[in-house]
Amino acid sequence: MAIGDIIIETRELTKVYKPPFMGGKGHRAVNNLNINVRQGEVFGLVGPNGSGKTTTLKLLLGLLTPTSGTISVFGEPPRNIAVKHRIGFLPDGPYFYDHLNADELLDFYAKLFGMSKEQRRRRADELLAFVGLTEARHRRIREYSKGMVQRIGLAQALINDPDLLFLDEPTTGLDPIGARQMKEAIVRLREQGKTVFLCSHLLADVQAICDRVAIMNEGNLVRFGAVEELLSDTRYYVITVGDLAEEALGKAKEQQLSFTTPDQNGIHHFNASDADGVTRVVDFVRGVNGKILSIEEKMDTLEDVFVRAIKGE
Amino acid sequence: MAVSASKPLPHSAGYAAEQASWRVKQILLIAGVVALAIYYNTVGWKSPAAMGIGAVRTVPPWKWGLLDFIAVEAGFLVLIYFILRLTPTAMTIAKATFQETVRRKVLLVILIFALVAIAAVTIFSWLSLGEEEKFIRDIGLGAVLFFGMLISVVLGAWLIPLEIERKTIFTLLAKPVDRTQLILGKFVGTALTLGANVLAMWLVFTVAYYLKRHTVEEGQIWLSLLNNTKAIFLTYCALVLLASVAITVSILASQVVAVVVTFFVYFTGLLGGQLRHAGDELIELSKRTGNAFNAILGQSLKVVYWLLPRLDNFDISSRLVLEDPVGFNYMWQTIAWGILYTGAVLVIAWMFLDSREF
Repeated sequence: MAIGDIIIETRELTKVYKPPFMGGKGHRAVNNLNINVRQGEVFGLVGPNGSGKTTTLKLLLGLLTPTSGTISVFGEPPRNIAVKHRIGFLPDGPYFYDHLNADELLDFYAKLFGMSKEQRRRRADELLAFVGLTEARHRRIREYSKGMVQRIGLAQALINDPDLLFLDEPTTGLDPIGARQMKEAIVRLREQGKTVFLCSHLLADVQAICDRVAIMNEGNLVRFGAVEELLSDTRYYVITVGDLAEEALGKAKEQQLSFTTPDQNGIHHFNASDADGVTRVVDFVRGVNGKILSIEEKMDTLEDVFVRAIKGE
Repeated sequence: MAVSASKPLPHSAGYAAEQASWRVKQILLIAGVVALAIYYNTVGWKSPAAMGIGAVRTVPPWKWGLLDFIAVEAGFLVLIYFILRLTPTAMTIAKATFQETVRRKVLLVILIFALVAIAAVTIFSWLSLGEEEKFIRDIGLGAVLFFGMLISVVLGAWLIPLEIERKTIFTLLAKPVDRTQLILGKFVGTALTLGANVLAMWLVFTVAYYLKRHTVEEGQIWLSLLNNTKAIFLTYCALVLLASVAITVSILASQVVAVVVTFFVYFTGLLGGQLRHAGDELIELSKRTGNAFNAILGQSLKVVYWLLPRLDNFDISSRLVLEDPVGFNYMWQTIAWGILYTGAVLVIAWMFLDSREF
């Protein structure tokens, strides 16, 4: 598969949790979800608690069975063993066999991929260096801090050098430096051509590293697209203006220009949604002998987009 | 720090050699099952569940009931399927399960109690003057069975729920592990742990028995020890069977329910012969009195008897006490029946796990 090819696709994916032998409609955790993930991108799935993120992730991993709809991962159903050879998974708040040390844990997971002893040893060396746990490789997992467990979790997810990596809240529990290293690691993985499917609450992180995002709320997909596209719709301009007379403000109102009340220095901020709006403001200010102090392009953050999407705006 | 771009290739020379050696082992195991099936279908034996102490079957396969025929032949096919699925992946899980479970403190405590109890039997054997051998065998082998049962139930009922509870099953099933391999891995790991525990109990019992009895029995002591070993080995087989029941129930229900159901299976399984006898009596009674309720109850008891494992066939301590010889013929037929029953239980476990959502 080439960069840009679709490797995950869901069509009308629905999951309803219904207790066995009970009537009623049950809880619709995921509702007619249509998303796709392309080879080589970092894809973010975001949403508030209970929005259906984890259910979606479990469906993609084959841990849950869809009520209706289809899932394709590398063109196969997610429970296909051939698919498992090509994916890695770091769960949220991971827990591992804590009687093992890092070497033994990676060796165990590597054996499940049928690697030879030499391959297992070499891969463990590489990954422990990658996640910075070489020094702690002989310590039991139960002696690890939360951040160290998260890092060995990333190492086990990478044990088979996967083409597709599922990361569920990968920066949870990490200190700022650890979180930054994790983000850098994700970016490096993308540079190596890996596809990363990321579930996270940390929208600043998602905005910084994801190419495309899907925002879910109450099981529904409410926004889906490239991060730049989602944010470009929110682009606006702020024109900072000085030396405006009182009567000029009256004219501005007549021309339906949007501006703020002046600050203590008599500075006004005019808002324009596009380049034409900027031109109108500039022409107006020149016409009333005001001074244009600055013109700034502003954009909402992903968090703003997220909050509006959740509120249904 | 860069991760090598070179993808680990599962089909390297080392991997191919491992696979080849594994295939040879699988072929040998399948050959064993096929030989067993041929023997069963030509010479044959009656299932201990069908008629009690192992005896040679006289009715040829084509004259069996259809249900019997399908059940037995399907049993052999299931065994062959499981052997094929018993891959290095399943054995990796089995080894990891064994390494983890032998470290569990609760099992260690039960084992220590068992070892102390078995050793103490010889000290208190004076309580049963004149019947010292019977006392030691009854209590000693009973202790092996009882404590082994505790280990088997605790282990079987907790293993898979523990994986689910601590979410390690997520990472496991995200790897190339299918659910049959997971069941087989957990089962084999449990069997290995039970084996280690029973081995320790056998060792202590054998030493204790020898120290207490070698002066009394003199030339007979080695025969007694061999008989004890046979009894403990059959007990081990029953415990493995019981563990498969506990694993199966634990997939569907809670751990507590799994423990309760397995205890029920253990006790009723030990009473298998009596259940059948009671069923026959009730049916006879209904024929004499014309009471339909007795007939229904009798048939119900016989159905329960047919479904439950005949654990009483694995308990030969009373036969040893009565100096009733237990030949290898009986041993292997009982074990073969146990394997078939365990295979059937594991198929149910696999069906439950396959449809289970996490």
